[in-house]
Amino acid sequence: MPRFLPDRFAVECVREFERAADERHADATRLADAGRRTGAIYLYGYVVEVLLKAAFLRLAGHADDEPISIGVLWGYVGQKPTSMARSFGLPGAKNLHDLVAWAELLVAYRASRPALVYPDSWFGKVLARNVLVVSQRWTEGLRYHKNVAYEHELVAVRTACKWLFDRRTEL
Amino acid sequence: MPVIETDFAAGGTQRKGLFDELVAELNAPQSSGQPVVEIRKMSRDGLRHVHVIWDKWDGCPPERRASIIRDAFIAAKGAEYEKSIAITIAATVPEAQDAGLLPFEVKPSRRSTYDLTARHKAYQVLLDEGASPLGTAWHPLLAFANPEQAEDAVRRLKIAAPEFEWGVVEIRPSLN
Repeated sequence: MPRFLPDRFAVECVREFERAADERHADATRLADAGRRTGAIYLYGYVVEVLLKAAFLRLAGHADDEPISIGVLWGYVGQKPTSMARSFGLPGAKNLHDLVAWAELLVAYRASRPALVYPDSWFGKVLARNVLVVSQRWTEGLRYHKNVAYEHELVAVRTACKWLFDRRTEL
Repeated sequence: MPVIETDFAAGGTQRKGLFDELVAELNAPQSSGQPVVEIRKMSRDGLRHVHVIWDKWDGCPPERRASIIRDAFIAAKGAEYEKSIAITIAATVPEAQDAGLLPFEVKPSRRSTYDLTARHKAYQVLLDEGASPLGTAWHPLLAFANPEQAEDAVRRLKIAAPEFEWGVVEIRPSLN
């Protein structure tokens, strides 16, 4: 008997996150081109989330195929005093979908390790700016609402997501 | 209004004390007690994760703990080794348990500790084993990352205080 879709999922790991980002980016672009603006923004937001998580997990030393648990993600970006975010003086996230918290953690982490500092000083600032653009227009709660996004909202999110997607190996 | 200037080593005495003790532990590790230092080698680029579970972090802000660990590793193992440390986690025993890092708790069974004198003895042997008095329970919190470590502690406790029934309980913390 064929297995259902969730039963065919690969283990959640850096490689799977990166491939999922590719797939959801393609889906979001098809929706955007078809004028389904809210649906496109909904998926672009997840693309950014997965790209940021994969980038940080690579820096933290997780192998491409190493299973990643929810507890590991909370340990990096959560609000408990033991989290990596808190060790940088950041407030940490209440929610693992918090794009700004992941971007802040990524930029702070790179800044703290001389070998990992971005080659161009502006890169971290532009990264943070693009993540902010998406986070102001996206929430995972979009799925519960009927609202239709404005064209300029889609353009902003699509442009910001493309910047991050095109530089996904440099984040 | 007064102007107060501080430097990176703010909290100097506390910082120095923690640094010195951690360096001493790294140079000559103890077989039990605190701090517990776990060094986990990752699969990518020879990177390491370092966990330092230590009640003496209590009162030390999270943003200062990581630099103390890194400085201690530079002093004890050299700058190249420190560069391989990707992630540091510094937590008191209760914080580590709350974060899910120490899911296996060792404690005496309730019925073996009704007597006050017995409770005092249980309290002391747990402290000797490296348990934390920072928690809210009547007995110090003794917890481990894996069941093997917990069973080892049970074996030692059965020798130190055979009148108690010692057991291991798995704790599932809230994640966020």
